Amino acid sequence: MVKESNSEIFAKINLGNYKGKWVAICETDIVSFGENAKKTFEEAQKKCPNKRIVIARVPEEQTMIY
Amino acid sequence: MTISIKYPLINRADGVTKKLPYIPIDLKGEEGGSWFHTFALLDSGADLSVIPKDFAELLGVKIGEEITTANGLGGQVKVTNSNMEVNIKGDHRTYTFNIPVQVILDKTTAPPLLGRAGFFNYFRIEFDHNNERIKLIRNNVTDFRLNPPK
Repeated sequence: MVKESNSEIFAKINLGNYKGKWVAICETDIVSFGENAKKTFEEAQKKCPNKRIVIARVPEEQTMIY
Repeated sequence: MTISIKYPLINRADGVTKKLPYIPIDLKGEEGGSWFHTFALLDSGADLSVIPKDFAELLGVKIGEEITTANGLGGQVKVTNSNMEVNIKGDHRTYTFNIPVQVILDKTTAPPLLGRAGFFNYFRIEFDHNNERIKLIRNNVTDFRLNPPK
């Protein structure tokens, strides 16, 4: 099975302005973003109640790995 | 028995599109009640999975009091050891399992990262960078919780 839907969302949205930030995606739009994952998610829940929210951190240009 | 995932292509502000081995995954802490849908970076060079503290708080991952340090290309950071639940969907099943994770206590912009301990025990992983695909081939381990069961 090929799983693409979430990845396609990531690919379609221009994430360049959100580097290093958390973004919350509801359907195909970023509905909130910020530096704190919990606050970003909670804000998205208010804007997009009872819908599937994807929360992801947008990588920096040079992602440093620990 | 194989989950095939397309690399997300990240559009940068400078117009460059970058292929990154992120996978869509659901995570939650052992003390958390809900699953959170996210993307995690697969990193075969990392001993352990790591997540930032604020993300751990969202997931309900227990943040222990015993602080240690972890070293990597990002330098040295303070971490605490914990566990989290992983849920990955593919080949008409949902695979659920528990993996060790280090919670980064210092300020960081690192994304959730899946390292070898735990996650890489459950799957043989192929990175097909040219074709922008990651393949997760299920290992013959017994402690998967499968839905539907098999």
